[in-house]
Amino acid sequence: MPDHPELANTLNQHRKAAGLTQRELAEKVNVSRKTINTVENGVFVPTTILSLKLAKALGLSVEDLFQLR
Amino acid sequence: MAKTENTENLSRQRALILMFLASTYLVWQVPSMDWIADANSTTRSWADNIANAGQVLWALALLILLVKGKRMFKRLSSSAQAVLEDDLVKSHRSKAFKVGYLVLMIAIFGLFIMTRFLPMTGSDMSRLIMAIGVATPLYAFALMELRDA
Repeated sequence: MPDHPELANTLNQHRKAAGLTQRELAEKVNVSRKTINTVENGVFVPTTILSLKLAKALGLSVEDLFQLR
Repeated sequence: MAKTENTENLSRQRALILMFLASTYLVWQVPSMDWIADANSTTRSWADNIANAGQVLWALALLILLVKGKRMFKRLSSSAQAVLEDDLVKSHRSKAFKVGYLVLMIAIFGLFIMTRFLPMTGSDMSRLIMAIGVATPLYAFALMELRDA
């Protein structure tokens, strides 16, 4: 069950567009693969720090990755 | 890639060890309760054996963790240590404590109702409350870690 149903994210699409697997992205931001998986599925809402790291790793802004529904 | 797989294995092992610790603690505490000591001698003897086995296993698991766990953790790189303690793990730990608190409150309320119908000693009550308080967060954390694996 999602932590915050009103939060939408496009991490999955952007990660695939960057040609990265969940494992590769996880290594770039120093978290586990399951953390990336739960963020993509909306099960886990990342902290501000992790959101910034994810955006930086994909060369995007946080707003590109996360939006309110 | 090997690093991530290694940390995933370690994370799974940690969850399984915590579940094992919670189980041995319950096996040690529950049969040691007074109402079992008041039962007939065969039941009491079985309960004593089970409780002793639980206590030995709990102590052994703690010893192994103390000796091996620290060495294993020290050998990991700082990035691998960070992966094992990332945001999701912290969130699971925090949720596990919340679940533990809720279950404990429900258990205390249940015990309060139970004492209206069944006589229970103070020692049994505190043993049960302690066992639930220790085991629930351990199980909750381990299950959340294994579920999201």
